[in-house]
Amino acid sequence: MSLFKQLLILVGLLFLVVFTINFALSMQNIRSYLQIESEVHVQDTATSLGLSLSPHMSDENDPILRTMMNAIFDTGYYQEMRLVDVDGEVLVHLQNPEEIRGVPDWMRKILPIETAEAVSEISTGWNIAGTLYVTSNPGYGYLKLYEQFKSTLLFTFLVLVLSVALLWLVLRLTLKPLREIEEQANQISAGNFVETPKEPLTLEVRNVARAMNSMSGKIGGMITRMNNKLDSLSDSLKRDSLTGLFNQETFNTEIKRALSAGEQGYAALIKFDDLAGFARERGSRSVDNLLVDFAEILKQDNTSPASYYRLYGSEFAMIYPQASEAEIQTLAESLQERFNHLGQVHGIEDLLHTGIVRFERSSEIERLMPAMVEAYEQARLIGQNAFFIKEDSLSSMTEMDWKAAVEHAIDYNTPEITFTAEAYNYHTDPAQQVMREAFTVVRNDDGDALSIGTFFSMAEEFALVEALDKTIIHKIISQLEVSDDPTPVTVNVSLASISSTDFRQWLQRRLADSQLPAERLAFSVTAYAAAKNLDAFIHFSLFVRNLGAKVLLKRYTPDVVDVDMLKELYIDYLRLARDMTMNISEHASKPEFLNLIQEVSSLIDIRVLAEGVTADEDFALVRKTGLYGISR
Amino acid sequence: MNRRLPLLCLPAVLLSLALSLPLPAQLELSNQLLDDIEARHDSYARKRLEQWQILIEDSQELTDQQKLAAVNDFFNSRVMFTDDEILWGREDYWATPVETLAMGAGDCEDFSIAKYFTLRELGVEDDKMRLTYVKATELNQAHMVLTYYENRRATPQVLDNLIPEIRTADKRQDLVPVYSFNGSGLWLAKTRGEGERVGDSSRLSLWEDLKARMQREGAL
Repeated sequence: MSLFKQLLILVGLLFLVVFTINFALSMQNIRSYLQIESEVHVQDTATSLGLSLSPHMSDENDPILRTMMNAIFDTGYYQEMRLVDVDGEVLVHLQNPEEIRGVPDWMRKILPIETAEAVSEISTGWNIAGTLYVTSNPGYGYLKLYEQFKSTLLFTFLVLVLSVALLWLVLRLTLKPLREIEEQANQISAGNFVETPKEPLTLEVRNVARAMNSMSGKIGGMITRMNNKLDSLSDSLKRDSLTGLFNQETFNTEIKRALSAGEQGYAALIKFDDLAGFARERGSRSVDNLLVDFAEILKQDNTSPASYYRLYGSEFAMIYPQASEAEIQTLAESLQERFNHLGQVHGIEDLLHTGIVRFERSSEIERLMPAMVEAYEQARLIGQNAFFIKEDSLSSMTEMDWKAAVEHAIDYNTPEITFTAEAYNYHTDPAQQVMREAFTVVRNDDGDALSIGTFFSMAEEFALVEALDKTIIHKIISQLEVSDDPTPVTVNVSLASISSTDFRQWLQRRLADSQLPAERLAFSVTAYAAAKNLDAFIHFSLFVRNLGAKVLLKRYTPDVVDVDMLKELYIDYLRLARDMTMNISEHASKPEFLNLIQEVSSLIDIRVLAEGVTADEDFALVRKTGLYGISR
Repeated sequence: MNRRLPLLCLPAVLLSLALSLPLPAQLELSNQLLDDIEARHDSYARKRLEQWQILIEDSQELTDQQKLAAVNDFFNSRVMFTDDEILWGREDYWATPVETLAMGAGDCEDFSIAKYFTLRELGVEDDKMRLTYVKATELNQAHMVLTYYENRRATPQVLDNLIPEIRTADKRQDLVPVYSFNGSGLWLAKTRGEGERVGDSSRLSLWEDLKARMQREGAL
């Protein structure tokens, strides 16, 4: 129960008790007052009537006695009047029926008013002549008491209601800052280092709010500083230091991303034919000048959305997404012209050649690089600085074949699941396995493994990916149910599935039916896919968190999803893109990047994993940064 | 009578003395009270109170008539009639018998009350006694006497401070009876008139109230 409700009930009950006691005392006082008043009244009547009757008591049969008593009695205030002579004989007896109208019986039981009786002795001269008894009629007292009861009850009730309303208001105002602080604490816990703008009036709450703001400000500031540094680091990580073009890792990432996203376009290999010879003749400085001038040409290409990369010393690459045949032709011609000019400037007519290949949604990445080399070789045959555009398919299968393969896999439940990429935590000795990935293999009729990237890309293309995900996840869960290995498993999910309500319901039911502890599953989405629809990803993360399972963001680089955003994604694991942990020693900024990402993650409570750290040198460096898990 | 005494403070002083005393059921004036009264008044005051105690102790076995005579004589011979205005500085003050005897003075009400109280102490029934308001025709002023009724039809005997002896009412042509109360009736009327004791616990008879006041004085 909330503090607000507890206080409201407690103070409300105290109010009720106080008002009830007050009401009871007030009624008791009124009753007591009416009782005394009644006694005084009958005594006064008895005394004064006795005095009036005294002169007439010498003749006990004198009708004036009854007349005088009637005159007083008929006012109605009396229950009974009795005049007796000195021997106790009744001379006059007047009585009203004992009925009290308009007053409920319970009232007379709870607050009884006693019938007041007064006695007055009457004398004639020195002798006692008789006694006058006067009894009050309690009806008037009850009636007055009942009226008081009703009005006091109403008034008390109104005051109680007003008091509780006022209490409600005061509590709302007093506890509002507490709710804000609670909200702030939740936000901080979720990694949002917000500050409450208004200072609460209550001293203790104000101190807490100040402390929270100070803490939030400090951590938030630290993260912002780290994030700024990461931004500049990550940009330098992606670029070649000499030419300022994107590097090979970036090319690999980009081309994989483009293919897995089912995009079409053109990719090119631009290669200097004999850069080594040029270096021998002119020296390495001239080579550097040539490469810088060459890169400048590429950077000056503002006419197309093409991106350029330096792969190795003399090899460069280009990706031109969404380009038509005519567009690539125009670009290639334009570039050839400039390369010719560059050759003339540097005194080499035949400088380089460009092999261009077309890729589309069914293209397989394994076939891309060989095709680019092949196209380059073709271009060399054509002429100086020439280019060749290879339009052949990069796929071993047609799109229809792919569709059939996907449907077959779903219908016959053929995907094979293997658990690979085991990540270990090296904080302990021996290292402890903390994560592994469920890897899917799909084979063709010949038993050969299909390109899995293309397979999923095509499944997505034909809107079969959700069904495929269900098939695979069902299989993973089934296998884990019979496994004793408690290590969590990364389960890849497509963007289409995480956006689907139907998929979420299915997943909820599947997990509910299973004995498998949900925390053993870490649902994984690529940073690129998550960035395309952050809202859907955040909803999915929260949904998964409610199921008790985990969320992993894979292939992470800070340029795809800002570090600032991580805290709002409700993720449990962050798996860095392979490039981030490869050839670390060659990039001065990589160790710094890894340290920073580790620090930021620990602040916002996310576990960082590095995958495919094969080289011993890289492994030693990654291990030194203290990342949560490393797979080799 | 020593007029310089701060008389109104007396009950408070007496109360402080009395708090340490046990409260016997029977009237018993302590030495401390008597010493204090002697210090404040004179040895005669002390003597009057000692004689009063002896009267009560010695008269328990007498008949009602003997008790009436003894009590009437006692007060008429030892207390001097004085107006409340002179004695207490107030128009109407009902003194306790201890106060009356200590002062050796009182008005007609003080006489009547002292006699009424003493007779009650001696076991005379309350129902037989009345405090009667009368008009003293020779003095032409309001007056109070204690009347005793042998039975309800009897002509009452009048205990008055104006004359030393007890006479029956028919022998008192100088007095015109106006109204009579028994002890409790008179007391209720009197206390209400003073705006006191309107609560449930106020239903004390004059006798009980006097006893309470005397307990506070240390006389009981």
